[in-house]
Amino acid sequence: MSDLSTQLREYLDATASPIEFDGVVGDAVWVPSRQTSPKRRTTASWAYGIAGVVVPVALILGVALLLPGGNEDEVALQTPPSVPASGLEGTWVATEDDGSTLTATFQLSGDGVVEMLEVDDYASVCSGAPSTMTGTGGLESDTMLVIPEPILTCDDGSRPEALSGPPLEEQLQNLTFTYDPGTDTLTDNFGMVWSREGSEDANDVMRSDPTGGTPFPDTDAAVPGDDGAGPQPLGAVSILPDSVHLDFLFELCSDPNCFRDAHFMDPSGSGLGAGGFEPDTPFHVREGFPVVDAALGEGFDVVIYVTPFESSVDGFVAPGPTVRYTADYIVRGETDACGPDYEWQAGTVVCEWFVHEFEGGLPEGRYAMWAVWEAPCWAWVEYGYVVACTDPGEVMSLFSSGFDGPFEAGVEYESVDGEDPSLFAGLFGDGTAPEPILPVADGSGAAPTAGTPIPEMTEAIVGDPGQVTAQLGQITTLPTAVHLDFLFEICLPEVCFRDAHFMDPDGSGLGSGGYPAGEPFFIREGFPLTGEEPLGEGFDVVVYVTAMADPGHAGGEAIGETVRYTADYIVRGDVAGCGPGYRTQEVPVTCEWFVHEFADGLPAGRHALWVVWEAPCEAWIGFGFVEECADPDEVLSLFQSGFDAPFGDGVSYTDSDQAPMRASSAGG
Amino acid sequence: MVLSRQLDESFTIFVKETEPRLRRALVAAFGQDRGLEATAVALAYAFEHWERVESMENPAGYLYRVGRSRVPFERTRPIFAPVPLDQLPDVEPGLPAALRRLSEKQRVAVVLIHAYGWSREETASLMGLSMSTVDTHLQRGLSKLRRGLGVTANV
Repeated sequence: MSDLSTQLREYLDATASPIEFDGVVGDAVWVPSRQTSPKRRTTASWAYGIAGVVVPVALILGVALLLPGGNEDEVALQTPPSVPASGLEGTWVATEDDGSTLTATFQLSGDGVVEMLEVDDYASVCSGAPSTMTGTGGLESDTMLVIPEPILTCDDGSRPEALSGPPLEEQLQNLTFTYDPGTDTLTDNFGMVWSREGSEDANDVMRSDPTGGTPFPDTDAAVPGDDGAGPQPLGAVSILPDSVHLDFLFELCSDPNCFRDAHFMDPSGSGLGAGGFEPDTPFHVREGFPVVDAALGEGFDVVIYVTPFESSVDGFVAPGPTVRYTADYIVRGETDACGPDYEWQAGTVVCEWFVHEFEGGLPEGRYAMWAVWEAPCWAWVEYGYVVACTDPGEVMSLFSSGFDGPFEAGVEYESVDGEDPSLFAGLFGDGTAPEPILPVADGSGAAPTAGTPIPEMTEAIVGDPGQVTAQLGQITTLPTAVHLDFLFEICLPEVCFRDAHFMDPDGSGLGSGGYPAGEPFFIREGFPLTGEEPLGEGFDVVVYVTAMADPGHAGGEAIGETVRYTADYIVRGDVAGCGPGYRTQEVPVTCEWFVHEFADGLPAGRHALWVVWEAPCEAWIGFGFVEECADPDEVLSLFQSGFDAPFGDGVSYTDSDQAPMRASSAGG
Repeated sequence: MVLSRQLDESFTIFVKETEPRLRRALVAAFGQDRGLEATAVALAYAFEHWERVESMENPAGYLYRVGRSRVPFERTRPIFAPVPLDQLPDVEPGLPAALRRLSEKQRVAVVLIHAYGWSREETASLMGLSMSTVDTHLQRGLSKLRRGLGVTANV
C-alpha cells in the first residue's frame, strides 16, 4: 500500500474532479424586471464530476427585483443584490436575551417595497405581553434592509414603553437588517441575529437520542488531584444528535444530564448545534483516557480554559479573561468506552477520568471551554503520539477540544434515562465534600532579617484555591559565589532564600546547602506590573517538582514523576525589588507575587524545582517579550528557572544581616 | 461587452487558483457529493458578487464559509464514495469509512495538510482557525485515521 498521504490524494483526486468554468460569460439576455428598467441577466455554466460523471450546473444570476426603478431606455449592467427579494422573503426567527422568541416575516409588495411583520412572544416594553411590530421599507444596499418607522403595539392593548433612553419610537427608527451570505443570517441594528425559520440554526430545541452516554466506570477509586469541591452524583448521560459532528473529548454534566461531545453549541446560526446550559447551576466536566500501564494521574492532567466571549462564525472576541482550571480529582475504573476512541473500543479498558467541578456553575453569558491534555513526553510516547523525547520529563500539551455554548436561562436539552442513575450513586460515597487539599503555611517563627521586601499584603487574590498566610518569613541572600539571577524565592518558616538555584553540596561549585525534609515551605515569584491590569488574570506561575538522582544543574536524572503545581494565591503591592530585574530596579514598582505553598514540605532526597511563567500571548506583548501573536489567547510559557537541592536534615545557610523586611499579615 | 471580458478574464484566473483549494477543503468536509455541490455554489456566488469577492483579503476563506453554509443540512456524517479499486489498487478500501469517522475539521486539516501539503497557515486562514487549533485537529485526525486503518505512525 502507498503511504497514507498518497492514498488520500489519489483517492480524492479520482473521486472528486475539478469544477470547470468554461471561461465564457454567456450572451446578455434582456429580462424585464418588475421595475421600469430592464436588467441584464448573464449566465455562467459550471460542471463538476463525481467519479467521472459530469454534472452540468446551470447558474443564472438573480435579477435585481428590489432595486429602485430606473430609466427604461438605459442599458446598464448592474450587479444584482446579494439578497434578492425572493431570498429575503419569508420568515426569520431570533431569540432575545430574555428568552423570548422573535419572528419576523418579510413580504415583497409592489415596486420593491418590503413589508415587515415582527412578533415578540414576550416583550419587555409591554411588561411581558406579546407585541407586534409592522413597518414598510426597502433595500438601502445589496445587503441592507431598512424599515424607517416601524410601529410597535402591545397585543394586550397596553402602551409600549422604552425601558430606558429615548422614547421607543425614536429608538426603533430606521430599523436595519443586514444580511450575511456567509452564514445566511440577518443581523439587526440591535445586534440580534436572525435565522431562517425551519433551518436547523433556528431550531433551539435539541432532542437527544435516548441512549446511554459513555458509561462511567463503576469504581470507588477516587484519586484527589488538584484541590476541588466534593463530587456530585453524575446523573444520566445523553448523546447529542448526530447532526453535531463531534468527537468525544469530554462530557459536560449538569445534573441530571451529561452531554457527550458537547461542542459548538451555537444557537445563533453557525449550523454547528444548538442549545445551552443553565447559568449559575453546578456542573462538572469530565474527560476519560485509557490507562496503558501506570496510572495516568501521575503526570497527566487535563486543564480546562474558560473564556467568556461573543461569538460569530468567524471566531470570537473574548471580552473577559481566560481562566484556567486544573483537574479537581480523578476517577479510575474499567469501562467499555473510554477516551477519544470510545466508538471503536472492543472490550473493557482501565480508564481514568479527570473531573472539573464548577460548583457555582457559570454566570449567564457565552463561554468557550477548552480542555487540553498535558503529560510528560514519556507518557505520550507510551500512547504512541510521540516518537521520541528530547526531555522525557517535558510536559507537552497534546489534544485540545472545546466548545462554546451559552449559559442562559432554561436548559434546552432533554434529559434521558438511558443510564441507571444508581450506577453512579455509590461512586463517591455519601457525597460529603472532602477536606480541600490546601497546604497552609503557618508562617510563624523568627523575625525577618533581610532580602526582598515583601509587599504589604493589601490584596490577596486567590488564583487556584489557596489561603493567605499570616506571615511570609524572612529572607536571606545566598552567598555571592552562587551566581544566580533572582527568579524566585523559597521560604521556610524562619528564612527565605532568594536566587535559590543549583545548591549542590557535592562540589560542583554551584552552591551548597539544603532544606529540611518534611518541613513546610513555600515558593514565591514576583513580577512587576507594567500597566493597570493585574497580572493575575491570565498569568500563572507553575512549579514542576521532580525527584532527582544526581546533583548538578537543573536536569540530571529524574527518578520519579514530575508533579506540577499552579499558584495557590497572589499577593500584590509596591516593592523596591520585584521580578528578574530586581538588581537594577531604582524605584518601587507594583509587584505581583505568585505563591505556592508546600504545607508538608518535600520528602528527603534531592528535588528539582522548576518555575515556569505562563500567560496568553497577548499579555507577553504588553511586557515586550513577544512582538505579535498568531493567536492572542494562546498560552505561552516564557521564563523558567529552577534549582535542584537536597532536602535532608537541617538548613545549611546562615542568616545574613541585611535590613529587616516588612512583616506582612493577612488583612493588614 | 468590454466589462464582460474583463470580468471573464479576472474571474477565470481566480477560479483556476482557488477552485482546487476550495474543492479539496469542501470535499474533505462533506464528502464528494455535497462537497462538490458546495464548491459549485460557492464559486457561483463568487461570480455573482465578483466585485466584492475580488477585493477581499481572504476570498478563499470566505467562499469556504459560503460553501459550508449552503450545504443542505443532514443529520448524518458525510458519505465518502467507495475506492475505485480497479483504478486505485494501492488505496486501502477502508479509507472512506475511516475518513468518515473523523470530525469535519479533522478531515479538512488532514486532507489539506497531510495529503495536499498545505501549510498550517494556509489551512488556518481557510478554516478561520488559529494555527495551533489546526495543528490539534491534524494530530488527532491523523491519529484516528491511522488507527482506523490499522497503520503505524510513520505512514
